[in-house]
Amino acid sequence: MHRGLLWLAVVDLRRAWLRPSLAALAIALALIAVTFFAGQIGLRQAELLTGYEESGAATFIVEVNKVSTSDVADLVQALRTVAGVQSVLAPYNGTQLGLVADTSFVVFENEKQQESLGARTTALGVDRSFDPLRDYYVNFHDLNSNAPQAVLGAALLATSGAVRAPERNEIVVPAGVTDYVGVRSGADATVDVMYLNANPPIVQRFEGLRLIGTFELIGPDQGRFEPFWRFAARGREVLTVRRPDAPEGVATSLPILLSDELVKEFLGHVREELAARGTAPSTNLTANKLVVRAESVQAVPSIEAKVVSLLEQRGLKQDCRAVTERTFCLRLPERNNFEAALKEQKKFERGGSFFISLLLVLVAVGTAGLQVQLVLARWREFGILQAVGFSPTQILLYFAVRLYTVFAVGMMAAAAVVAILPFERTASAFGFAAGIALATASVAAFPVLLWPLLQRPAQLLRVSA
Amino acid sequence: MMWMKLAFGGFGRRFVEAIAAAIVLAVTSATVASSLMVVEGARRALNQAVRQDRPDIVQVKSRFNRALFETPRSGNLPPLTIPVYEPLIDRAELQAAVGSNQVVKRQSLFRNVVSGDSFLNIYVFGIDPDLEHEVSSFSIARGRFLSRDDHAAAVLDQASARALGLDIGGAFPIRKADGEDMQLTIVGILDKLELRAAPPRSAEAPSLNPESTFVSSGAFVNIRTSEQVFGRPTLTDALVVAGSGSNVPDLVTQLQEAFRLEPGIFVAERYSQYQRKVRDFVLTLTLFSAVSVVTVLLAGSFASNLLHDIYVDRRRQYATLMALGFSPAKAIAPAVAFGLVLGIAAAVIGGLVAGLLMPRSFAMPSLMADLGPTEPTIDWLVAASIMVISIAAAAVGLASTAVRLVGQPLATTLSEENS
Repeated sequence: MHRGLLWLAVVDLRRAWLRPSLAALAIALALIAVTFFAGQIGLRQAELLTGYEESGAATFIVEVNKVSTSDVADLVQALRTVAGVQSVLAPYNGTQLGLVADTSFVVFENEKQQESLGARTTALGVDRSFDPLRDYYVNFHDLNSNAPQAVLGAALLATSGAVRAPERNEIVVPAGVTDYVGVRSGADATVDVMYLNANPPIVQRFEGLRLIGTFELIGPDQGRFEPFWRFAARGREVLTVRRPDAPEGVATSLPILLSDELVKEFLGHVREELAARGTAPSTNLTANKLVVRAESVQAVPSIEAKVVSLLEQRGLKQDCRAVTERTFCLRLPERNNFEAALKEQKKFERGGSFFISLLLVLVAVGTAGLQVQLVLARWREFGILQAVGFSPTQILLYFAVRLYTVFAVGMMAAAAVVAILPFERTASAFGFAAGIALATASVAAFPVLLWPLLQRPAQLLRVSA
Repeated sequence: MMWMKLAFGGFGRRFVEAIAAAIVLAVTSATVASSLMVVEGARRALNQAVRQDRPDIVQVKSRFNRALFETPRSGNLPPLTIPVYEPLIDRAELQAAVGSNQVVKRQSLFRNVVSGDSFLNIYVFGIDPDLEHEVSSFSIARGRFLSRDDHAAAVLDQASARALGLDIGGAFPIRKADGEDMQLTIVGILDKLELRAAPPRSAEAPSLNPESTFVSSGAFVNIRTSEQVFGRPTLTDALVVAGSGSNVPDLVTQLQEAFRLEPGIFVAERYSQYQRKVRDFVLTLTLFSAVSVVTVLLAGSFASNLLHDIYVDRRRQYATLMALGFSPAKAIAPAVAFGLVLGIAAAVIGGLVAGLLMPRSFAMPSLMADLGPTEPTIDWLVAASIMVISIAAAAVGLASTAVRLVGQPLATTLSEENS
């Protein structure tokens, strides 16, 4: 660039310092505001996605059919190796397997008699990777064949003790049940696990399971359970009193948590018993719903694709209707899923984006207006500069130097203020603000500067003379 | 026609400056309007919080027990879980703790109403009819509301009345604590009900709002009747209305002190949450007022400056009119008309942009954490503000020209060269 033009630009700015200073101030304030709003959007997005991820929006369910227990275990292992997958588990879900559990605690005992209070719920057998907040899913079609095939996540919120996957001799029970019975963590429970899809039902009793924690179920059942009172005299059970209208089958999605080993043991017992009776199980006695959790909400679509590819490689066909062949079906949880998370994220970023847009338009229009003012004031000078030999490009550069000097001053002032102000910001948010403001200002200023340059010098000199 | 030409004709290159000024003013108006809309939305959210949360109310409630067996002393009722607050609150102790603050006493019950060979679950609330009206909302469809002097009278919601197959004048039995039945006569039917601090709903019962997780239906009797049914004067819950919001912290301390030895009684207040909402509102107000003021000062003054250039350019035209015999007011009228049209058009466009494009829900996590998302709202104050700002910007742009025209000799103005 011609030195003379550079000198002219600097002298020009020094002489008319007020207007460029005010322009720099306006740009600085706009950059601060855009940084603030961009930071807020980023914060909101992160907060929202974290909340969704914590409640299981990065999870989806893979239902497999006609796959043996050992094949399910292999699939779980294979899926765990897929990049971007945080966890995979195959819980034994009582609503799917037709299992209920009568959990009781002794509330009175002497040498002659024993009274217990308890409740009937469903059962959930889980391994150590189970996360109570986001890994329990219920397909209400399993509870009611008229209900649509849709899985719903139900969070198990810890209320006391340790709510985690229990060991073989441990149990985790809904708080409503322990409140009703009046027991705390450390109490010994007796659990009668029942397979109801056989006549008579197959029952196995597990005694001395230590209660390690209690939880509240956040789901449509509102913690519903069927209470009962049991009386035993001289070691023999004499009476169990239930509500007369208590349902027989699995009527609630409220579970007790048991170790997967214990449930596996019970299912083995069921198979033996059914074989002894010479009947086949009416439902597949395997954990056929795999709970797959991606590392982030955004990663879910790509993980879904990888899971589909892996399952197809293993000879399974994607089909959500067929249950007679080796098929699989991907189901997104109702309400709380990655699609809802991303949609919600978009909804909440609109407010901040709107203000960012307004401020950028203001910067653009302000810059264009400033250039219009300058161009009109210097209309004749455009002609003179061209007449003495400067090319239009050089003149354009002269005005660009003026504009970008003002912009640089504003940007430095904004950077200093943003560093001091106590609001959520990042270097990337400021960089975004500065970059986009610079781009919009340039785009707005360029046509204005071209306006006189597209005319002949003589015309410029004549008009303003 | 001549005036039109005088006001809007012959701008030449300055027309581009006028357009720039109009766009700057329109964007300024849109920014200010959007900011004020957010502030207005936040103000409404805060007002709604005052109405809905009633930060001046402190709730005293007993332990909620949803798993107690109801074991009637006689009759043939099946055992049932009764989801209610336990009756643990001693009236005298409560009254002593709250001093002169108003106490809205309640007894919440849950009963099976037996009719024929079936029964229906129903919530029964013993209330003080006069005081309860001040905190809850009851809409009577037929009949009348309760009075303190009623005996064995009840007001039922429509859903419960329909389930019982009863109407005004009908009666239904409620089992008392002594095992005897009391006949409650229906004196009123409610079609809408908003019971403040209603207990959680965890048993099947007729409901006016089936989606609600809180009880939205039931039979209301006066507290004298509920005492007879319950067989005890202790309360299940109560609302204490503090004289003013600022008294709430002291009141809560007094209540916690009074019931410190009773682990089954809880004191809940919404004042702290309300205070956080107020702080959110103040922050929102501060930020968006700052955005508005800075935008008006910088962008508005810039638009004025652009207009000033246009007016300076036409100063000789106005002076010529005065020299031809027009009064100063008439001579400057084209400038005023031009400024007004430009300002009003910019304000209208800016207002429309804000009104149409502003998202329906606005949320900022570090600003509205407790206030929650607000609904930006445009009202006459917002509209008037942007109109005033635009017209003021045009007036400021014209001021110097007008002063010069009136203040300095015409000959001087006429001899000035255009910029």
